[in-house]
Amino acid sequence: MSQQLDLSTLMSISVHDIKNDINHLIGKVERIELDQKAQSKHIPELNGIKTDAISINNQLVQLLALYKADEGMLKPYIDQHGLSEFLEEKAAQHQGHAQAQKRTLSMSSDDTLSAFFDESLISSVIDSALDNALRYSKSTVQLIAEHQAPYHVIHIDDDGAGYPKDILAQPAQASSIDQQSKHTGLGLHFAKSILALHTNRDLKGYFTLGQSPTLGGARFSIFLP
Amino acid sequence: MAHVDYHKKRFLIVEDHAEFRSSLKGMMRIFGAHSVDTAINGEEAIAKIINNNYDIVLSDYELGKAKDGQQILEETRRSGLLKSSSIFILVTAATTVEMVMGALEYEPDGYITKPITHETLKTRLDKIVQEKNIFADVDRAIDQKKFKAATNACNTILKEHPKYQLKALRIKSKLLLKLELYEEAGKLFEKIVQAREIPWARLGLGKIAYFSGNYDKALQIFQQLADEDKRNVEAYDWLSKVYLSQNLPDEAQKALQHAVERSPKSIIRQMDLGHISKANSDWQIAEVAFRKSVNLGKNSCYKTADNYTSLVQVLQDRISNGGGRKAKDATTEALRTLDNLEKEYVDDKNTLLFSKVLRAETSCSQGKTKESEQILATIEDEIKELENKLPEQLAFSLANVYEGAGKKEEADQLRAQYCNAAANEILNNDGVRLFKSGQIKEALAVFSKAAAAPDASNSVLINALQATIKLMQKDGVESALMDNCGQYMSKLDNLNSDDKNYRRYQKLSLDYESLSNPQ
Repeated sequence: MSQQLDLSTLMSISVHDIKNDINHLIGKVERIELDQKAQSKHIPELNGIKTDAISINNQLVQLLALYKADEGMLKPYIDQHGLSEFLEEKAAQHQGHAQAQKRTLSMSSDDTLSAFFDESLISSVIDSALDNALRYSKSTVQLIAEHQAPYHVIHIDDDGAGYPKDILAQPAQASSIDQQSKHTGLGLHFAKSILALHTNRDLKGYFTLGQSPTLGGARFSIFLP
Repeated sequence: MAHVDYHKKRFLIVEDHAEFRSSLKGMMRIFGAHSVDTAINGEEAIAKIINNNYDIVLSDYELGKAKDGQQILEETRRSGLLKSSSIFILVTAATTVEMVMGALEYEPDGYITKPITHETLKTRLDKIVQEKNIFADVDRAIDQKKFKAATNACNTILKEHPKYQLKALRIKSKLLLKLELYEEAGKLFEKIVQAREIPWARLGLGKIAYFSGNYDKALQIFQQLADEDKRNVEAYDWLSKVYLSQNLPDEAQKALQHAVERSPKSIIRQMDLGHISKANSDWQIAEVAFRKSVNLGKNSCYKTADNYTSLVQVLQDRISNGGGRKAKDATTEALRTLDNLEKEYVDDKNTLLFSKVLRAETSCSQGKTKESEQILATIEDEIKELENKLPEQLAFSLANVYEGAGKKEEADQLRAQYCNAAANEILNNDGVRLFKSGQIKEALAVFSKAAAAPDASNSVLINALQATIKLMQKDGVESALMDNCGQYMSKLDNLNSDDKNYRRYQKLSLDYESLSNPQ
């Protein structure tokens, strides 16, 4: 080879390939599931495998998006979206996961609310947040939308133990290492970068970490200008 | 989420990957769908859409080498094959979705990103169907071509469903442009960008600047959009249009080359690029563009004989000047293209005639003048029969053949005659643009100049007639103008009832009558 790839390019290409392999894996699991359904059989483990694979896929997509953002090539496509429709869809997509974990997942939003954002990017932010909330909650996770002018806010609340104090104190540094899970803070880092790309005039999107006023656990809040 | 009944809906799934195709079909069955067709590529998809009335088309974006999902959408929507009220959904990889989305003229009703599971597909479908229901009145009116009624239906949505405001405004703006209500459209775009920077609304402001002849402002807007986002293909399309209007064909070609680079599978862009670069004598670019147009046009509603004949015309330079292998390859390609053309258009007399002329030209470019003359001899009568009514491009090729045969005088005469026609066409286009922007007086000045030519086309005459009548409807009847109308109409008297301008002509005759007999 006369041309040498730099490591980050090589990694991004590999991540892309791995993502495609995971996609094929999800496709296979899905087909087995459909076959089972057709025969009125049900293997509960299958859904768990699929949920994990989808979560891995989401993380890889985030990695690739961050790489693109780093190259200045990521441009959000801002459109208007009804928040109740958006959250209903998100809740429905994670319902299987929630049921498997024996959690109640619900959403609440004023039906008239709408916000301006890139649907697939914000969807990915919420997917990570929901994966987390479902993992650490005891029984309940809630998606809540509200209007706090000049922002529209989406909260993901749970009834778990809440965020560790050091992360709450310094959410900006939250993207180092998650103490509880030893996870890298990919989801948080992604959220931070993506929200910063959501601008309207002088306002920029951002997220906060806090405590859920109703459920007592963690609250992850996304602010969209 | 409200329950959606899928069992009466007719589905088409377009997916090249066999396993995904069957699992998508399996998912549809789980949702209760009974009628689910599949297609493995764009060509098959379009053939099926022609013959069936699908309610929902679900197409993968990536479909191998040929047409992609976006092309299927564009072709079927633009040609009206797929009704507005039908749903078109694009399936994309999560990493390409933002490359696909954006300021595209033809947008799908929704996107689904891979990996698709039956849970994600169902919730997405439900959401898209429900949104489509909100726009049902708008879509129905568009399908019936009642654009005014469609804008009213948009207004109702703006009032009753503020969360669909942006989408309703986008559709309304397209309708206003279609209705040539530029002032109202301009206000709408202005209002949107004042609230929030939305690229399609900014693009709209550029279009309005273009239509009102404010090319500098249009150029500035389109250039800025292109600089901000290199994927904004439409901004490059419009840049190219502005450059053409400013008579900067090289710049126009460059802008279009950029657009084509970003969306190489768009046949319309390839055709436009072919024509611009051909006019610029940039044979290499033109060759590639027309070759792609021919290939993309197979089984497409944009298949035209013009792509084949243009390709052969632009190959001539390489045949005569390329030398050796290059010339030989070009000759082979030209003859093969003509073989295909004659096979595809076996019933089209003019096209077959053109093909013969091009065979003569190809021989001529190879230096085989005798062969060229032999071919020409077989079509002499047909050419005489057409007299002054040769298709323009055929005339130019024929002139080259004459010149190759040493008939310089005949060649020059033919070129002069059809150059006039070409210049007239440009005048006509200028007039149309002025007319559309509401500058009726200015448009009439241009049209009447073009209509004064002895070989003025029916389109030119009818445009002149329309502009004259419109001016009088606005500013009152003038006897000199009425006389002009009479002259145009007597020249148009032999218009065939199957002419594309015939209905317009009929309507204008009625307008003329009511001007001459006011009640």
